[in-house]
Amino acid sequence: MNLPQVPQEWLDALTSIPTSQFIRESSWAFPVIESIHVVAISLLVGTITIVDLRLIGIASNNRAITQISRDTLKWTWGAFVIAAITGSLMAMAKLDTYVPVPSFWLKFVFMFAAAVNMLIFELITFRSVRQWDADCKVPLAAKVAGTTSIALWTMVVIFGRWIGYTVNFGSVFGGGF
Amino acid sequence: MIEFANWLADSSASQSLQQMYWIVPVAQCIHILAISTLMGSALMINLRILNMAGREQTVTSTARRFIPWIWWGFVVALVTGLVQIVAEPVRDLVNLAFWGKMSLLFISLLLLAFFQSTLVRSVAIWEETPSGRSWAQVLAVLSILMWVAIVILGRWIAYAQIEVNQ
Repeated sequence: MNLPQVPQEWLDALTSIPTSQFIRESSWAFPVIESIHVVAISLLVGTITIVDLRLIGIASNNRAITQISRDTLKWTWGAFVIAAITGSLMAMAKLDTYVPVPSFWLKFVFMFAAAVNMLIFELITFRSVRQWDADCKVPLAAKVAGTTSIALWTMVVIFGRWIGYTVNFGSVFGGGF
Repeated sequence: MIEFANWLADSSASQSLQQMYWIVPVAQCIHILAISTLMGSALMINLRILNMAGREQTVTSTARRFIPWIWWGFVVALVTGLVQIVAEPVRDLVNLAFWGKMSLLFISLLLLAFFQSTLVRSVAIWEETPSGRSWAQVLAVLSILMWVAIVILGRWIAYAQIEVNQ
């Protein structure tokens, strides 16, 4: 697989700033940031799945889609911001070890795909939501968007977890990961 | 516990899992997805009790919508968690973060079962009296904090193990 090349000067610049050094050298900073990252991701995936399941027609079918979105999406976005901040901190601290890892890049590919899926849904399908918001069959495009969203976020979680194993593959059963 | 963990590690079940190098990462991925389902569902019930979501629905109907997903998420997390324990007994069982996580999990599930049983007995117990409502809200905040702590301690198992071994 041809992975993106990151110039060595950029890697050096990012990994040598004091915040990166601190996260790398501290005994607790990385685990704390990583734990918050996992909490944020579980809330992000958990809340977005509630909307996706409603779009597909599996759960919450007695409630309007806009009501469910109002309840959940602010938490999804809040969790995304926390996951992005904690993720950036971890990536910054050890970027030179992540750059050669395929899972690291694949996670971003699937996140990008999830964003495209969301934009298509928001900008095109969702415009007619008044016609199918409640007590009504959801259009096929919305069902496809919900199913795609669940599939893509599942891949984001899988490749996110896999980063730890490809980095430390030699010590899968003894290592800290 | 170290004796038991070593005995389990030598057992044929553990030995065969240890040879499948992919099984722990795969179990962890499914474990995280199951926990996401559980966390999203628990958050929604607790937010409803705190009047921060789904106010056009009763607490009872919100609970009916999400409680099954909490239990199913828990069952999947339990199975994938057991796979990890059998594959790496010493890593998990000789580990303060693991036992902290299990203790909080036990309390959280007791709280959930208690909440569920009150809904069966009297569907409006949390909604009719002011004291019932404020108790429910205290427990809702506590529940969110405990689930967050369970996730944090779960991730911490990977790091606490090193301290125990030293």
